[in-house]
Amino acid sequence: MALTKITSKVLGDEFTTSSALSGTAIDWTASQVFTKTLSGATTFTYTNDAIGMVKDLVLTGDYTITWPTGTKIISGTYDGSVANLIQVTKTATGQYWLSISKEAV
Amino acid sequence: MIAIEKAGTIKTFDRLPNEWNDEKGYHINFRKVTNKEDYGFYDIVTPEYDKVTQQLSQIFWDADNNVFTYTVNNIDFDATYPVLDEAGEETGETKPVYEKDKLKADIISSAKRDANNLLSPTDWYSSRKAELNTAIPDNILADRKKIRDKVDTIETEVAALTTVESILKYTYSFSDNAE
Repeated sequence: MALTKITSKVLGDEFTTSSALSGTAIDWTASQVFTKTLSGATTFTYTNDAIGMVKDLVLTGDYTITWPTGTKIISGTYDGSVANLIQVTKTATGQYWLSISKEAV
Repeated sequence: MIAIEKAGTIKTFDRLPNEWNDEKGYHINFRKVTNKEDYGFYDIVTPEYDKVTQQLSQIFWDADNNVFTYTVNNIDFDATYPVLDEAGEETGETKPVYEKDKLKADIISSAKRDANNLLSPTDWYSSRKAELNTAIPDNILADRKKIRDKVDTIETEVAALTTVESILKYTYSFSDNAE
């Protein structure tokens, strides 16, 4: 039978899973959500990112974070004392829009 | 204070910005960096100087000491400026930038204004004396006299000043007369 509707059951891991980042390279096809507790200044890099993709990162740790060149902050301020939800959207080649929300405590 | 040079322009900051965008990427929580020099930020060293007689140059990069700093220059109190006519042409006449008589007059005017403010709360004693011949208490009379005497002293001291520097550095206080 032909598939006429896309449901969450047919989506791959890159849309439905969360994984803990062990390094600083973010493979956009590995998970939808990435988590990491920083232990020092961190520079993230991207692989397999494509225009239109959106990824979520849950980051904690009071350290400087460096995002790839071409990143623009839409809103929010990183707060190292709580967990931060960072959503990254690739809007064009070499261009990433990033919004930061922090946990309310 | 810190500063960074970008595209030939030195930008100064009270402290590291919380976000910073450069060729290395977009940095957030940037105040937490422990190696600001790696990003081009260096301390500003402000030399000691006499704020009345000296001024600081434009900020510049001191490569020998790896800091941003200033040089201290003495103010030229003998400087003059050309007088212009109505058409904006120079008349050949010059005037001093620092006019001693005007600077002195400003001090005396300020002292008299301060004295007036100190005298005004007890002015009503004088009005009552004039209208009703009610005696002004001796302590009030003495306090008012001190204020007026102080103005006389200031006028004498200011008149005796001979240099722009001494005029600019002249200070006075009525605090002994404050109630």
